[in-house]
Order: sequence, then C-alpha cells, then structure tokens
Amino acid sequence: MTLVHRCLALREIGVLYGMIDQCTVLVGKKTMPIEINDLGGGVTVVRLSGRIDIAGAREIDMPMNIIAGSKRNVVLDLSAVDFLASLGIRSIVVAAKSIASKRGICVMFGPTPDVRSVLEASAIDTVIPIHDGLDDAIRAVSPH
Amino acid sequence: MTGLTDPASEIRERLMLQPGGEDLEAVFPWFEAIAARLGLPPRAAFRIQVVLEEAATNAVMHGFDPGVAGEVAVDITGTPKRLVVVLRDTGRAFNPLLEAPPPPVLKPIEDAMVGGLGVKLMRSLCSELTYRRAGGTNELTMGFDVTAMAAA
Repeated sequence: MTLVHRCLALREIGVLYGMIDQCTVLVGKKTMPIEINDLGGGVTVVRLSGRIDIAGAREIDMPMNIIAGSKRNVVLDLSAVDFLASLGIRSIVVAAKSIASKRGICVMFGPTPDVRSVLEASAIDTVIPIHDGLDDAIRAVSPH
Repeated sequence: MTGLTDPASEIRERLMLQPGGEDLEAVFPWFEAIAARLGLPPRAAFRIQVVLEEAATNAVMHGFDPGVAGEVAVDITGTPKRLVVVLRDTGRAFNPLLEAPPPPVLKPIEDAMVGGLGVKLMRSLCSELTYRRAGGTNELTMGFDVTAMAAA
C-alpha cells in the first residue's frame, strides 16, 4: 500500500466514524436503519427506523455494539420502527445490558402500538422503560 | 386445528430453508406476498411475522449441530380468518414449549437473560401452539385467529 493509498484508507475510516457518530450511516447508497445523535450533556439519541426484522437486526447489530461500548445515557427512539421481533429485541437487550454494566442507562421512546405490544409481550419494557415523550425519555437518562 | 387437511383452505404454501440461516431472510417477502394475497389486516400480519421470525430463527440457527445437513419446511394453510403455520425440521429432537428456559426474571437489567423470551412471545400471539416429534422431525404448529388478532 502506498502512502497515498494509506492516507485515502485512513480518510475513509475517519469519514465512516464521523458518519456513525453524527448521522445516518450510509453504505453505498443504502440507508441503514439507525441514526445516532449526540445531544450534549452525555445524552445520545439512537433513532432506529423501518423494519428491524432478520435483515434489519443484522444491520443494526454492529452499530448497536459500538453505541453500547461508547455511550452511557441512551434514548432508543423507536417511533419510526415499522417492525420489531426477537432478533431486534435481542440486539436492543444486549446493548442495554452493556450500557447498564457501565452504570449507564437506556430507555425507549415512542414505539407504535404494534411494536409496543411485542415489547410488552416479551416483558422487555420492565427492564428498558418505555417513554411516550422524547423530552421525558431524555430527562430519564440525563445525568443529574 | 386441521388446517393441513382442511378442504376449505384457500392457500397452501411451503418455504424450504437451510440450516445455518443464510436464506432465513426469505421468510418475510414470502409471507408478505401471502398476507397481501389473503388481504390480512396489518396488525395480524405483523404479529404472525413476529412469531414466524422467532420460530424459523430457532429452528434454522439452533436446531442443527454444525455441519449437519437437514431441512426446515414452513407450511402455511388457511383462510383470511384463520391461518395455520406448521414448521417442520429434521434437527435435534427439541420441544421448544417444554424445554425452553422459563421466562426469565428480568429485573434488574444486569441480570436479564438474553433469549428465552421467545416462547412467552409466541404463546401470547398464537391462538394455538403445539409441538410433536414424528418420524425424526420436529413439528411446531402455530394457529392464528386472524379475526381476533385484528380486533385486539
């Protein structure tokens, strides 16, 4: 690898990390169903969207791991999620457990009635609280 | 429920999956086409897909020892009011309804198990859920009262 190539590769990695940290993650022209916004004050809002089915869960797994490893006060915005089942729930629980192990906190916000019914049927809402309002959710995770 | 032999059944569809999960994503477009054909209400279709994901993932990802060949068949029969999904796999004998771990106690989150929630989820969404082992095959039958699901 020449120096130029190495610089290009480093720049691409930098761009990728920048994207992961600030907004929609793009791979080629495809939009991934996860968007990460740091609000300041240590609070991060992670907006999931679309179908978090088998394919969707595979797409969010890695970004969710990165979030779980680097953020402590996390709101999962589910208001744009059309579908969520066991694999997506698993990804959320794994991340929330990791955040909790660092004495962080993770809450969910705004699921549709169908998504909410799945979260409640699997009792996930008893460990990752669901808030109806984004402001409430942000307050719940904000460091005091 | 006698969906498999029910002469009133309006559909009879089968999807074959391979152990390992590489073709698992085919489940959703396949089911969505069926749901559209039957005109299933969105809420019922949503809930059936939740159960399908759980059951198919379990069978395909966890039902077989690594490298062991086998097959998983998903059959759907029924009408717009009542659907029966039968999942058959030639994997290890396993009754998910008896042998799955009991629903975990979830508080606090540090102790929460990952997984083990599927049977609880499936029981809450199916109107019938039965298992039998027959001729070296696991057979999980999931019945859905579509009319009741759409109203819930």
